[in-house]
Amino acid sequence: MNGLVLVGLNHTTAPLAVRESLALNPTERAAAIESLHQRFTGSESVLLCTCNRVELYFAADSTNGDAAEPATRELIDFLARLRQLDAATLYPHMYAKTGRDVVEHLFRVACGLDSMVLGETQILGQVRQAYEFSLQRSATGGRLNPLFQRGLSVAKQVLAHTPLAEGRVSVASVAVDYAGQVFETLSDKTVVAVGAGKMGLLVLRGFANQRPGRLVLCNRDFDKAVAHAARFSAQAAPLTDLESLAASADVIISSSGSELPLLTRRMMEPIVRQRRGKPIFLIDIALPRDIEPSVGQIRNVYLYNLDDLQKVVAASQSQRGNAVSAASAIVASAVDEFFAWHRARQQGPLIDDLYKRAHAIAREELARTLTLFPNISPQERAHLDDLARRIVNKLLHDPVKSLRAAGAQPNNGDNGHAPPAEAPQSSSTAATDV
Amino acid sequence: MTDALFIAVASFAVPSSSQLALLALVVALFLASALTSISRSRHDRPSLRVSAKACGWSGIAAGVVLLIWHASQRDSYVPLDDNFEAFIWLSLLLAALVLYVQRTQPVAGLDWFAMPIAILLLAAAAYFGSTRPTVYLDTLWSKTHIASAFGGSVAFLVAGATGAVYLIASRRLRTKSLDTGQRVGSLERLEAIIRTWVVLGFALLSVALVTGLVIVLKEGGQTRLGRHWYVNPQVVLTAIVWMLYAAMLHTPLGPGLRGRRAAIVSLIGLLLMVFTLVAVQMMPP
Repeated sequence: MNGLVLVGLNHTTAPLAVRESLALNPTERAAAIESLHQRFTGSESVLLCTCNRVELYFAADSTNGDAAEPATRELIDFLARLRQLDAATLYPHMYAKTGRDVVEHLFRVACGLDSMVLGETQILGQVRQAYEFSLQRSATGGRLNPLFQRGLSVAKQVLAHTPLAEGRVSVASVAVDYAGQVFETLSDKTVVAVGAGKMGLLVLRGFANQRPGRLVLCNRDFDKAVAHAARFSAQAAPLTDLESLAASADVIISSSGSELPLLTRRMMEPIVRQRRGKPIFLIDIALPRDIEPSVGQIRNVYLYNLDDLQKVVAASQSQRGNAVSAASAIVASAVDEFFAWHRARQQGPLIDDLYKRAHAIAREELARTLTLFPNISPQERAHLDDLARRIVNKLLHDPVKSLRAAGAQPNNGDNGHAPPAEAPQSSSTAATDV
Repeated sequence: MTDALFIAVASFAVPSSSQLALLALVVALFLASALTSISRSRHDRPSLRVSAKACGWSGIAAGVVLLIWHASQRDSYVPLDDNFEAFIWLSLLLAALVLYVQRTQPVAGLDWFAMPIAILLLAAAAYFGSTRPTVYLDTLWSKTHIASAFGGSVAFLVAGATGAVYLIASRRLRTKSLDTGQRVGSLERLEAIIRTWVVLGFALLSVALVTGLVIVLKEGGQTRLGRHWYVNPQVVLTAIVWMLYAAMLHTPLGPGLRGRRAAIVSLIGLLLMVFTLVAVQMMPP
């Protein structure tokens, strides 16, 4: 599929800050699609923007030889300009794909094989929304329409026929899941996050999505706490308030860079006594640990550290190895089928030309022969016309059949990576999250 | 306290062998339900869930048929007149309530503990129904007493079963178990269920104690408990259970009925209640 290009970044290639810098709201997406359409006449485009990925699917106009097919670097520059970013800062985080790789990537993304939480189903809705967004703006056509429609169909097939969507796989989701086994709801609970490390913020995001009654981000650098707290609609607090916050907290997520434990057994015992049997859930994902391990021995305290959570993640991933294999097999088969269909469709104009040419020759030769028989009746002439047409059709039947079969076979033309912009990374492997 | 107040035997029907066979079927169905449900703690499958529920409700249906059959044999359409029926009633109420709670709340595992107790009560019905058939007083006081005592007992049994599930869930969390078995529900919800049923059981048991007191005072030494009713093991044990929960719910110690403590107290209450219901039957009056 010449002219089919994908540029983008995701959670495996870009940190949260880079992904956030490129996140586009619907108005910006609409403007971007419009702008692309004007810049590359007859092109098609779909912009997929989620919290974990920003991807631009682009198909150049293959019918217009004058229309330039953009280089992947040009598309990356275009994305950077949308948010007034320096494109050079994006290059190391971007990946670029063309042809068959785009199809395979889209199919894997749609069914959650490329997601941070393997097999998550939210991405299917996001792909559908992105496609419909472009469709409503007439930004898709004969190239991206079948691609996305097939992608959505494959994703449904994977979800229906494999257990890929079952289970849990990220540290954040495991932590939230365990909290759900302690508390029925977080809507009336206080969640305190200590430290603003990457992992801590990921877990905090997981808890923020549960809309707790009160969310507090406690950090040594108060300004940093304020900045991050704003993102999660949380309150900010200095680290000196930790002890008083711990007394009112139901969940504490600790990920500071402290060399010494911040929460000791001596500190926690009176706090737990004050809670009069009410459970408290502690997540310590700091290295070295922020919470003394002996705190976990106090009654009604449920303490989980990074190892505990990662064991669940690992167990969950290994249990789903078969599901991933089955899903990948469905995707691979769907990609082959899509390309066979696409190549067969490409043979159409060629076969049409062949028939037209052969019938024209037959008519020409028939006309020349009929000049030797001036007394022939119109009815006899019609019979001879029909005879010539049938002969041509029968002669062409086997060659056309062979041509169609040959066309459905893979060839070398559809399997090329686009030249990288500046060492963009491949994202063809399934993403994993810690 | 359920059968604490009796008068001399008027008329009763010793269960026939056919009725005992039907009782055995109920036991088998409850046992199958419990075992199927317990197997879900290892590997949860929809087919097991459906099987456990089907066995449980089938057992209850068979038990209701048995109650009606036994009551009609005595030409009484109030199937609550003797020990045989009383124990079956308690058992069916317990099983039905547990299945109902599991259906309406996102919790599971209560039947792991409740079904064995229901089976124990059925066994008590088979044994004490034949050997010590008794007839209850047929007055408004006694009916109120029986209904509240039954309700209170079953409520404490449900709370106790939930307490046991709470301890298992708590242990799973503390040991960071990776098992893929059935989720039993959040600790917070289990605790809420314990509190609800303990409060309900306490209220009903209070009514049972008051009505029981009225009856013995009114009847003097005419009840089976005799003149020294206040030292009867059933009365004493029931009073202990009542005082235990009164202390937990209404003293400055409260609100102490939380977390593991609530679960442990409800389990103690369950054991005392089972002892009150069954074990004292074997004691001399």
